[in-house]
Amino acid sequence: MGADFKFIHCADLHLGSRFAGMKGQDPNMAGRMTESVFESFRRIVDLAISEKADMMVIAGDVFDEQNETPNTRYRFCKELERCGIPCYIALGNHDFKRSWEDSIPYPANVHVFSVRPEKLIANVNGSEISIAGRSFASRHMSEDLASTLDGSPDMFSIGVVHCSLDDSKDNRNYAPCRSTILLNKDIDYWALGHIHKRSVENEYPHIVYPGNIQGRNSKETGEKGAYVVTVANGRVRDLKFVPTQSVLWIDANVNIDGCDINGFINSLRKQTKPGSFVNITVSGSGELDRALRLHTAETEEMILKNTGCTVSSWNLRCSPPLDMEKLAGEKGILSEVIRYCDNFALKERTEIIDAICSTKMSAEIRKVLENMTDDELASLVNDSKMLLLERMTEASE
Amino acid sequence: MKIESVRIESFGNLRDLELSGISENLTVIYGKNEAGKSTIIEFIRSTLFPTTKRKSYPSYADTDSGVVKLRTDSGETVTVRKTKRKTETDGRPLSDLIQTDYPTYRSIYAMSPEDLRDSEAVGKIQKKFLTIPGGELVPEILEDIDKEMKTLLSSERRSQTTEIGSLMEKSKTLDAQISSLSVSDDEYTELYQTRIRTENDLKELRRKEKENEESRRKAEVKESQKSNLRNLGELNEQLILLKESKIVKDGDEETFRKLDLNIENRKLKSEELKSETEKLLLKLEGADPDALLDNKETIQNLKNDIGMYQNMTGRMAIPEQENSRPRTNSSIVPPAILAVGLIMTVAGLFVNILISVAGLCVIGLGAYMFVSSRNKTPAKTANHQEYENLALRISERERELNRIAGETGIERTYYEKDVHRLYNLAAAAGEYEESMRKLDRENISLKESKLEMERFLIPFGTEERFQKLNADRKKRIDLEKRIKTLEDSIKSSGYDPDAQSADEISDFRNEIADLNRTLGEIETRMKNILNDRERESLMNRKAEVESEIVSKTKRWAVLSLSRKIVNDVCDDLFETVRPGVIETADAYLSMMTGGRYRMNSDPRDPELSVISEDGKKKESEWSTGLEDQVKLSLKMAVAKELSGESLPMILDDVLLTFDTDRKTGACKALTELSEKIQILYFTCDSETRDILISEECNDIVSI
Repeated sequence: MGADFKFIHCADLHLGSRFAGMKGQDPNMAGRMTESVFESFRRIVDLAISEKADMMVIAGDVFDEQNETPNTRYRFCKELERCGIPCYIALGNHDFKRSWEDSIPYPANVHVFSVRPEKLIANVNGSEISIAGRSFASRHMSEDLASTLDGSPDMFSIGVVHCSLDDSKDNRNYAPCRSTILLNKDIDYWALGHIHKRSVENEYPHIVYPGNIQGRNSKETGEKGAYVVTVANGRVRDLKFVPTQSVLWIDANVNIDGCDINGFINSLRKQTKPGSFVNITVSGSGELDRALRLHTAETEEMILKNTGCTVSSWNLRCSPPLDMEKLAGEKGILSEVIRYCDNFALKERTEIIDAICSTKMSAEIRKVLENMTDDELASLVNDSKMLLLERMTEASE
Repeated sequence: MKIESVRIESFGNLRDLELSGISENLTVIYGKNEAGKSTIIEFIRSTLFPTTKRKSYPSYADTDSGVVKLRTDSGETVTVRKTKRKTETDGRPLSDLIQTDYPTYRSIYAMSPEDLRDSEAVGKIQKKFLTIPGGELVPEILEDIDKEMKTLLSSERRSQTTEIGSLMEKSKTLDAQISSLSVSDDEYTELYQTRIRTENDLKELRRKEKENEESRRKAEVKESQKSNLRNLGELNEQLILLKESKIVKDGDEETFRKLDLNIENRKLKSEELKSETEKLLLKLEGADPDALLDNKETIQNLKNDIGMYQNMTGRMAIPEQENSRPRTNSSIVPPAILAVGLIMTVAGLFVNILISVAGLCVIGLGAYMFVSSRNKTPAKTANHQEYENLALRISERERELNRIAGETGIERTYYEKDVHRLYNLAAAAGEYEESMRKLDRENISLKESKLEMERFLIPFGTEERFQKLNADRKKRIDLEKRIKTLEDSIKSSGYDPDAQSADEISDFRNEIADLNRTLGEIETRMKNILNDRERESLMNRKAEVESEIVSKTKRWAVLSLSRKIVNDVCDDLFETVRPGVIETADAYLSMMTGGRYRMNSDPRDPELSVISEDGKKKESEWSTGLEDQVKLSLKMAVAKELSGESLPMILDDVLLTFDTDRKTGACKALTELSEKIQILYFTCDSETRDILISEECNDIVSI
């Protein structure tokens, strides 16, 4: 007879993390957002209790670097204590060692894996299972942590580790590992963390990223939560994702071809839920382009009023109702601007940043720009192009 | 298009004035002030642009009339006739010939010094003619961009007055506040460690205090048992005094009591017996008991023989058979009684055994009576012989009696009485003797008892001493009991003879209370740090500020980039694509200023400016002369470069402010321009007229 039990798998809690890209419309927004991460974890603990789970595994990034304050840690400990069941934690790259952390010890039901491979045998409902895990020792780990873990062939085995699986990018800092190796480690369920988008990479053996528990910026969209894993007779019988996020981030796409503001809001309403944060990508070309670019704040207010959603980011890939090709072909400054921008968009990010910071600007500004993604920088170029286009064509209207 | 001639029939105060001999190139119309130069110019303007409401002199009159003869560039002659406000042509309509609007016309072609300086018109010219398409918007766009950028961030003053600057300042302040609050992290660690230390100290103190409590309790017990112990000591001393009483053993008292009782009883009995004996002695009536007892048998015999004696004495005296009656009666009665008894016995066997028994008794009675009657019988049959014997025997008996009486000391009376008396006395003597014996025995027993008592008392000496020792013994037992009770009480109190005294025991209770208080304070402080929401809210605020910085920076970046794009595009365009107007104006200005100034052609400059060796010079920095020169150059250039039907240029003494050198330069330029378009230069200045003449301008019309 194999083991029969239930466990919760979550990761990337990033407790205490602050939200990026919040605009200052609501003075309490940041506080609410910070709280939403805790709220999500609270719901996970509620879930563990209501599901009568036998244990919980947390695959790293419990905290969020310098956002880990004693208060954060204390609240986490309290939640774990409330959870009551055995909790196994493998630390991730955001779980910094704090000088004071031993002063707020974890409750007795918590086991934090060592920085060396560790395997525990636990008795659950009368059956023995093995739990192997390993923690990040420092912020960057080029070592393949996962492959140093092994399960037990004679019992149900869980592997808990924070790692980067089959990362095609040359990103060797976050314990890179290969799924081909993980398949042959006598581990029945790989409880992974690090990737904020949830995915079931493999089944039998299971390799699962639960994603983070609460979206915190415009890139972390969709439902967030934890997996409830049911093991019956030593085999995963059910893998159930349960959303626990307190705030939902949604991607919405609107084409403004022949669309007025009402059409625009209707389209948004269809794609969103009230109370969520929405990243709006706008395509097409039309009169709305001008309103969206030049009257953004008013538009956002209108969206909030009509859909209950807060706009977290705009990706304006739309254009004014102009024949760009014709414009580009004409003689004059406008065509030059268009040509220049199209060329400019192809430049390297450092060149773009240099161009923006051509004047002697403070290092802080440069740092802000350097923190932006390529896409963000590209959209800055596009926004500039559109700004000039709007300005240079307004006289002709 | 050129003006061939102008004939004013009536306009203002001019009547029938003919301007003829106008050159295709440059014509100077010279006349003194008030000669009507401006009126002529106004006439031409109002004829070519008739619908325009004129504000300038002269005012409208119904008599206004005249003719302007024109020849188009293609050589066609057009006569334009002005009547009142209307203009008629004899060929193509004016609108075919003139595409320019009135303000442009006036600012470029037909100008007075005031028109020349009209900045608004110059601005229009600049936008329209000095840039490539769209370039005219550049200054405003750049201005707006700069304005917004400056509100966001300023390179000069990195101050809090800009939005990003103030946000960054705010962010730094928040950082400082947060990091000052994060000092509490280390404080927490210290508190945590202090708490552990304090808890350990407290534990140790509590352990010690527990021991102390025990010691203190023992000390208290010791204290509380002090009087008990003193009592115990006293009791033990008393006990020593009663040591001797130990020779009295269990049961001794009982033995003594029994012995004593025995003696008492014996004494009593002895007394009783003594008095009884004395009573018995009295009964003897003074007779010698010993003698009585010695003769007891004899007395008995005498008593037994008393019947016989009476018989004998009776027979010896005249025996009167006074007893025949009882004899007869007695001889018949016994057999009857026997018979009744027999019958009763036999009947009783059948009826009741008691009757049989009664019967047997009756038989006995009968038998007795029969025997008795038979015994008497012999006496009745006494004979004489026997009498003799009888007498003898009587005397024997008398003697006997006398002897006995003598011996016993009683006085003789008569025989029977004495025999009975003796008999009774003998019986009493027997009793007396018996009593005496008993008394003797009792006295012996008493003696034995006393002896026994004496033997018992030997170890104690005297009886009094025994009594005292016995009493002591009781006291001692009582004492021992009390001592035992005391000892038990002391023992059960947990008395420890080795216990320290209360003064010697250190007291940690105050220290423990202090530590507890300290611990409470530590825990409160720890709790406060853990529940510190201030830092969290500052961090939230910081996140907001950071977000704002990012979003404002994005906006700033877009603006900065836009500016960069505009600038790059402008640089590129105006380096390579320099409009003809600029080139021409540049050339004219150069001529007028002797090469000192050149036009600045950058459309990004919202104001017109020139470049000299000293750099760029904005309009506000120009002298009136320079202003006129720049503007004239510009207008001349525009006039020259405009495509389509050319218009004659009519200038009203625009060189008046120029110095001689500049006038010379300007005249050169005018002469050059007149190669392409017709110029009518009205002047009252003979110097200008002369310079123009020297520039080989021969067409001079004087009015």
